Amino acid sequence: MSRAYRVSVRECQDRTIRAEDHVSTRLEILEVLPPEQMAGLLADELERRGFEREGTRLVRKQNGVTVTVETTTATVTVTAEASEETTIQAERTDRAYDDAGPHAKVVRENLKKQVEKDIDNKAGEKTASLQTQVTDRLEGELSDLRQELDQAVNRVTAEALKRKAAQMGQIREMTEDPQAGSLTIVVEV
Amino acid sequence: MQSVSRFEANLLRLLWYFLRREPPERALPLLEDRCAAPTCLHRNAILLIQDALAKGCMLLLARRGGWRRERFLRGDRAVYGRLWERTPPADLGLSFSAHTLSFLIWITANRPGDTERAWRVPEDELTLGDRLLLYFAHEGLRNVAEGLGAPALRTQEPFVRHALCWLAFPEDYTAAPIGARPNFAPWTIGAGACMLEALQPELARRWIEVESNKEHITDPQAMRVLGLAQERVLTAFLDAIEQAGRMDLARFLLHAAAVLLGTHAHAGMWTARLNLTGQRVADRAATFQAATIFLRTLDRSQTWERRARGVGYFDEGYAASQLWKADWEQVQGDRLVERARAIVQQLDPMRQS
Repeated sequence: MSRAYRVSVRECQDRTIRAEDHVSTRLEILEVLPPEQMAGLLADELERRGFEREGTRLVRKQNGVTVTVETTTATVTVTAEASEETTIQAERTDRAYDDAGPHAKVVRENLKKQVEKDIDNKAGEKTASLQTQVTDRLEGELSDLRQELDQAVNRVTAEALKRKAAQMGQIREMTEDPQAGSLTIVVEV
Repeated sequence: MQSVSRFEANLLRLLWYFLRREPPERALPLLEDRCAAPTCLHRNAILLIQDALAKGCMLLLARRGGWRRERFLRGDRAVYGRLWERTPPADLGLSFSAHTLSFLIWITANRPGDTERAWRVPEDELTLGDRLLLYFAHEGLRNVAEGLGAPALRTQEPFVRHALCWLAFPEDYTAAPIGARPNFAPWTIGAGACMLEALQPELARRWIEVESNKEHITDPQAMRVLGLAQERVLTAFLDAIEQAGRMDLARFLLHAAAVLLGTHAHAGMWTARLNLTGQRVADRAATFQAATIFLRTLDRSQTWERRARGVGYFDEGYAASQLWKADWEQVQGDRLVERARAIVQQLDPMRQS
């Protein structure tokens, strides 16, 4: 005997999808001057580049990416995150022997479980898609950020060398070639 | 001729297999079988076990590296010679407790993976002899009994804290519980340190093998758990030997690095086959960090060498410092560190130019 009654379960849920990515590294800064002074120079240089001070940390938010530099340890952390409110719906259909009897109840419960799983799967797909966007955004910023931080470190090192030279004696001559990235200081001791 | 029961004969065969006097194909059927353990062993069997342990353990140590003429610290000076020339044989004696016998009885009666009648002994209760035998047993079991539940043994006491097993086979400890910490205290002093000296060539060979195999790992998660296991054991090991003033015991790490970081070493040797498609940058970075944990450990070795340069003739630890400096120079440690850093930097998503 074939099943005669069609049973449908549809569900609609509001979900908040979140995605996050980050990367961290340490800047290699030569200790030309004591660590506190090097940290100060780094903080000044980063402020010039649009970072905001938050205690010993410098923070900049740009294009959905947050760059945080802890000056005491020269650690850089780059974070990208995103969240999205979305409505997900799913529907499943099956057949039962009865309309509102025990078999229909069992079928409906099974369908409900499957629909919940479908919603979870769809939420997972959306999360994966959002995650890909966040990761791509982060990677897109890393390339420029790398160059910028290289330049910042070079400037900090140059400034530290100038101060160190001034401490050692009388600076007779100082030549800086930003293109070649070279700095020549002649000191009379 | 001495006669023993069937159970005792099986026990002795397994013991001889652990001591490399029986081939694996004769041990495997015994490991697969289960049988009832007798209430006690006969005197003949005990004497044979004692004889095998007394001669077998030392013979293995001698063969694996104790015969080599090398320099290691003895007190505040470096001594050259074979293991039994650096330390009087009387001081190299091993004692075995009842735990060795109970282990041998258990492994003969059960399969390694039997959890209902598991063999569990606190690691702190073991003697040095017990630990050495368990090391050889672990080596033997991992070769033939992986499918018989040998991995389950490593997640329980005493194996989970057996430092030498962990140091030689870090890839076997990827499932070790988070709180488990290898106990290196017995291996940094006295006869335990002598055993580490003898096993230097073997430890170097193992670490070269583990690092070389990373090239074939495709699963990022597998790389991360391996790297974590390596980090845990290396951190505990280096902390222990630094505290004991025995940096010379880390010589095998330098020798392994010298082999791995040749002129043509490149990042692909550690990460070539990793499948990182769809991975977050954070996960990729964590995977690369795990892959290069051994390379990053060399920085600490270099710190020791720099510190050793500043130790004067009348300062404490002068001999240890001189020995470490000599080891470092022999492998051209600075060059190795340079190559290691270049590889690590290559894999840093935020690498500086």
